[in-house]
Amino acid sequence: MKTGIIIQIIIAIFILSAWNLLHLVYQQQHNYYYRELSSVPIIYFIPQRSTVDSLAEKLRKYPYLRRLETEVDSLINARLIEAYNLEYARDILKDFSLPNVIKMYVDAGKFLAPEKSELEEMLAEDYPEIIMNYNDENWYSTQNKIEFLNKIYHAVNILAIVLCLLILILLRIHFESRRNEFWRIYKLSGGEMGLRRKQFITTSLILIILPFLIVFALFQTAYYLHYVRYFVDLRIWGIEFIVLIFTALISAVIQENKI
Amino acid sequence: MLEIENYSVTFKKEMFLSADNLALESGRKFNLLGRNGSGKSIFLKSIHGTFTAYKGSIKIKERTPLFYKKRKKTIFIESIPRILPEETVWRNITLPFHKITIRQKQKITDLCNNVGLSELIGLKAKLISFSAAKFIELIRAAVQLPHILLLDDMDTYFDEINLVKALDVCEYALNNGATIIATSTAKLENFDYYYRIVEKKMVKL
Repeated sequence: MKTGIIIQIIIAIFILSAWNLLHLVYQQQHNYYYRELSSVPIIYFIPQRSTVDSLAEKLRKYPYLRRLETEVDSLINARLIEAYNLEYARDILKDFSLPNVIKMYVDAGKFLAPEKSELEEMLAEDYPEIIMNYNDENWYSTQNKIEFLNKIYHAVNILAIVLCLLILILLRIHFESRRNEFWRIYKLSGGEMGLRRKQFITTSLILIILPFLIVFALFQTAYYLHYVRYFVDLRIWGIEFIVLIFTALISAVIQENKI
Repeated sequence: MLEIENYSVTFKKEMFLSADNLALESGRKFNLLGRNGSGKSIFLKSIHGTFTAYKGSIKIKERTPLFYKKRKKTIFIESIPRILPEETVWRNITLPFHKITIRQKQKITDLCNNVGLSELIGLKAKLISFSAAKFIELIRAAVQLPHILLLDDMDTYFDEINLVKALDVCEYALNNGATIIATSTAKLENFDYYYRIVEKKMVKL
């Protein structure tokens, strides 16, 4: 039985580790998409200097705002002259009215479709003269990629739960069944009736707690030693722990008449 | 110790076995005789609590057989040896013991010496003879000091010499207040009381 327990612990560790690696890969890809999206600013071209502060004020209230950069026309003028060596045209440029610019960097994780629509509506209603420039195509394409990634992630998670339950329950039943004859003879010989139940509970506790703690410690250590960049969410650990509890409960139900 | 009143078993509305009133004292050996299929095993199983489809009442120390079955105070040794073939003789004898006391260890060693199991103690049970396997069961049962020890078809697995040795083992349980009920097809020597199943009825000889 001891060999059986060790084999079950090793397999449970292997399955849980693979499952947690899946979370890490997902997080890495997810964050890559959002990082890419967050680096692209929304640019507002504002014809009136007086509107800049009012718009900036409004934009600062949005929870998804990361950074706001304001460039007024005089500053743009000076930058153009410096960048293209247009000193000789300074007087000519003075006569042109260049637009003011606000660059808005958002937290892509919070800037989703409803937030984007709300922002666009606010601009259309309150500042119809302002031109908003954003790479919509890139935004939609990345959002689609994220959505697809989420779907795949959820599907693979369900598959992982099913596989975990199936493999661990079958293993448990296999090793318990191998001991059926022992327990039958044990009972007939006058052995304590409740001992098998006690041993089943003890083994279940070992098979739930030990693999979980080992894998948890492994990933925590790897995170603090910077071998992995992401921290697996505690809720995910909770789900994994619940799945392990279910393997023991379902095995107990299947073996009910024998334990 | 054991009180049986108006015991009867019917199969398909036909009487299979019956016994009027029986009272068996502790520290005594009873031999129930009967041909194969006469209901000896059913009777033992009724006392053991594994067969309950009977009429009448069976009381062990004024309680039902099930009460003692759960507490392992009635031990039933069937004709087929119930041992673990891959385990040693010693492990098979001590199987039901969670912890074994020095006294129990000494007693088991003595009983093994008496029946000639001491040389086989470290061997795997699959390598020993049928009667040696039955001695394992008998010693295992006797050292648990049951209230009732039920031995089915005792003459099929012990010859005359081994039967004397087996009764020596039983003596230990008897001295501690057990009642021994053994069934057989032929009369066994050195028992205190004999009953026979005649025409589906248990009668005292």
